[in-house]
Amino acid sequence: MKVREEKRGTVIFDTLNEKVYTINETGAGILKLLLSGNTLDGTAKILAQDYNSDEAAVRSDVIQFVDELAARSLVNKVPAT
Amino acid sequence: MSVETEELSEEPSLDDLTGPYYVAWWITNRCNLLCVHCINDSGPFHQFDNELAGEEIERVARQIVELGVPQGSITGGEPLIHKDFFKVAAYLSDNGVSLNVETDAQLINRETARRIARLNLRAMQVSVDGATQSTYGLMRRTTTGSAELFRVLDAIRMLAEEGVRVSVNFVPTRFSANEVGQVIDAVAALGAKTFYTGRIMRVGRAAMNWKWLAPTEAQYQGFFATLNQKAKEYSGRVRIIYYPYTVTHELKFRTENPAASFVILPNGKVKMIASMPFLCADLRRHSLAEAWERYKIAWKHPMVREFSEKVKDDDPMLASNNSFVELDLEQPVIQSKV
Repeated sequence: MKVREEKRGTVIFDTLNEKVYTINETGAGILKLLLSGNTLDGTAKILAQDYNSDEAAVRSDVIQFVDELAARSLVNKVPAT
Repeated sequence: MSVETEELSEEPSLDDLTGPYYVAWWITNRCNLLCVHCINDSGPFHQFDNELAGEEIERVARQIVELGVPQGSITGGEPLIHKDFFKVAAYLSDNGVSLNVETDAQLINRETARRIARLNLRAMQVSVDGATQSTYGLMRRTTTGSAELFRVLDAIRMLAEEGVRVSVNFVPTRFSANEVGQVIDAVAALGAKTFYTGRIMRVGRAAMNWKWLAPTEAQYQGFFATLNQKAKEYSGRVRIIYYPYTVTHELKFRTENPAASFVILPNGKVKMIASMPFLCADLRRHSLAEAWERYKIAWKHPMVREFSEKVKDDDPMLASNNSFVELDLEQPVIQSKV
């Protein structure tokens, strides 16, 4: 999977299956945090602080987003080390 | 502010992209073989006079990375005989470009397979066009005779053993289409993971040899039936991917729906699509980013649209794909050049 900033948002390239997806700013923010090495919990914590939101609710949204990516085989979910 | 789950939507429009998402880099037109169906009209003495070299090659590779091109291929001619092949492939792969290399695999020995394994490619795409030496040799010619099938099969085995992901490309002809099932069985047993095929493209040398190469429609029916059967048989083990349409169908579709990809020729010129002769940029004069902007404009060029509208499945125009035509994208007047 490759990620590139485009004129109207962020694009995900599924280089294995040769598919392209667009995601909006919030999805891009989640992906950026995950790709820079944050865990799901860490990502939720940062976003909850940034948006002054309830961490548990944000975590649920982050997981839902990652599940969507996993369903398209764009990411694999692994336990945090 | 709450975080909302974002829906993923499908492919963005070409105008929204800051660069291509696939670049096919035809790095040399020199080849160890002289195949009867070569779309690029490559061969041992077919190197372009002015192929990119040294610093020019490095600059193009750097621009591919800088523009964030996510995937590409290195093709030819035979890429492995280009002196900078390993350097370029390693640079692109190490810098995040998911890379496919198209090869006839005739020159791959154990040492080469190990070097290729270190490149961490998306796949090494090997051409295998027959299950028997007589069929393979009819298509894969050398200056003195025929290329040898056993070398390709050995190469696939060695690549797979060294951990390289191998895909196989098969071009059906009147005398090879009925061997597709045997080829799939053979390459699957050797460790190939993906099998690509489709109708033979009526371009380049294939167009010139069309009368004795093109399968009949009845042959195609049997060919596609075998592919469907093999796809079921190898489900979960080998991906069998085929494109059932003609090159003309593809060309007309692409004129209305251009792909975010183009071809870099050995001399640095940028070709819009393999099946048309049109060039839209020159990487000796334009950056890759500029080439991308020119590519988008070029699809609206009247000459391109006229070609696409006029061309038919049996059209001799298709043989002209390597008689390159430079589009003048600054002026409404068209400039032609072979």
